[in-house]
Amino acid sequence: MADAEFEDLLFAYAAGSLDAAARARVEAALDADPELRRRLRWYEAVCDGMVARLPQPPSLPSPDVIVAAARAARRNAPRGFFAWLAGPALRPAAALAALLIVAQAAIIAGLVGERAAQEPVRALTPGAQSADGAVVFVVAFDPQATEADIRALLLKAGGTIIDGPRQLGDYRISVPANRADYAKSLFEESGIAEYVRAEEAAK
Amino acid sequence: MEAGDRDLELLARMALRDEAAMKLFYERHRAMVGRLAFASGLGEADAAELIQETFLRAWNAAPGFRGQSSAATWLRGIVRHLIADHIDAAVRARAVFARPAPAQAEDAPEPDVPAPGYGPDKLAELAEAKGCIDGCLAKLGTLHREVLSLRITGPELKEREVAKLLGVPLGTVKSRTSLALRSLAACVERCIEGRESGG
Repeated sequence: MADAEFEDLLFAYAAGSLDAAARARVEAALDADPELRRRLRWYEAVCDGMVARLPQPPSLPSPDVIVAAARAARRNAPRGFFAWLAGPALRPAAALAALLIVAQAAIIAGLVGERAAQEPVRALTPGAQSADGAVVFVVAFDPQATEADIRALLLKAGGTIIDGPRQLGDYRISVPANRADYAKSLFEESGIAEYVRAEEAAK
Repeated sequence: MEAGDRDLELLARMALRDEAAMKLFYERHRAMVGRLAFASGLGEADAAELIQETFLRAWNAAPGFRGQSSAATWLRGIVRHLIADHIDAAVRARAVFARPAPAQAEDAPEPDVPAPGYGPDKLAELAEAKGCIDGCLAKLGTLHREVLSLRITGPELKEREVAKLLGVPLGTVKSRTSLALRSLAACVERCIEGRESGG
């Protein structure tokens, strides 16, 4: 895609005018390129400035009305573990799990199949960097850290929990490779991570 | 704590169904959402309903917010799509006709020589100068202000609809937007330099 075209798309993203498909394309590009995030800040500042120049609204609903609406929505929403399991937070983990199942099936098929004489199938190892360019960190959080603290940290780092808490109370967190250094420093400086290490590839 | 960090924290708490966080989040962003809702030409009751619906959607979608954009950008996407979905053609027309009439060509000629492009670090630096951005937006030529206004705050989301409203080809909408943004960046840069030199 030409630069000028993508710049226009990035501006439209900041303006909030893109449809879901175009938004997903821009977000994938933002995940892959930290420079784009810095460019986005400029477009966001321009859009914020333009909106701030609109006339002040004559009236606004009170915060209590908004909270009451949210409370009513919450009463009607599915609850508990299964709702969380079905939620968007776990979609990447579900996709990874599906990928692992397919990979395992391929390995098993290779082992029991009739083509044993051929070159053996190589299993994916839990590596420092997976095929999709993600880096896995093992992180143990301070027991006093709240779930909100951890969620906020993961949002900022662009990380997704792919496993945990494990027996020792730590988590495996996947981060896009190009954000790995940034994420590591965020984890280390967060004040809520007791232990951080990049997972090493199995030899 | 930076504004972005504060929003991330509030959205993380909203994902855990913290109503106090929802209240704070609403107080931080209601003016922005309210301005867009009222500027769309909706009546007071409809605009209030749309504002409520925007924050309800934000409440429901908070667990999926991944922080690639600012919370304001994320909310802008929600409210503008709600506006586009909810208002009918007559309301759209009212909103458009309530805006300033298109400028005469001599009012704000489009420059032949484009302003310089900027790298990501420079743009991020310019983005921090909110006062300069406000001042430079006020000084934009009519053609540039008009295209930015329609694309950021207008009821139409698609560029070809904006092109129709302006009576120009689609390519002109994009190039005029690009020129407007570049001349704005150049103005903000001059403003920052002026501040630093005490001028």
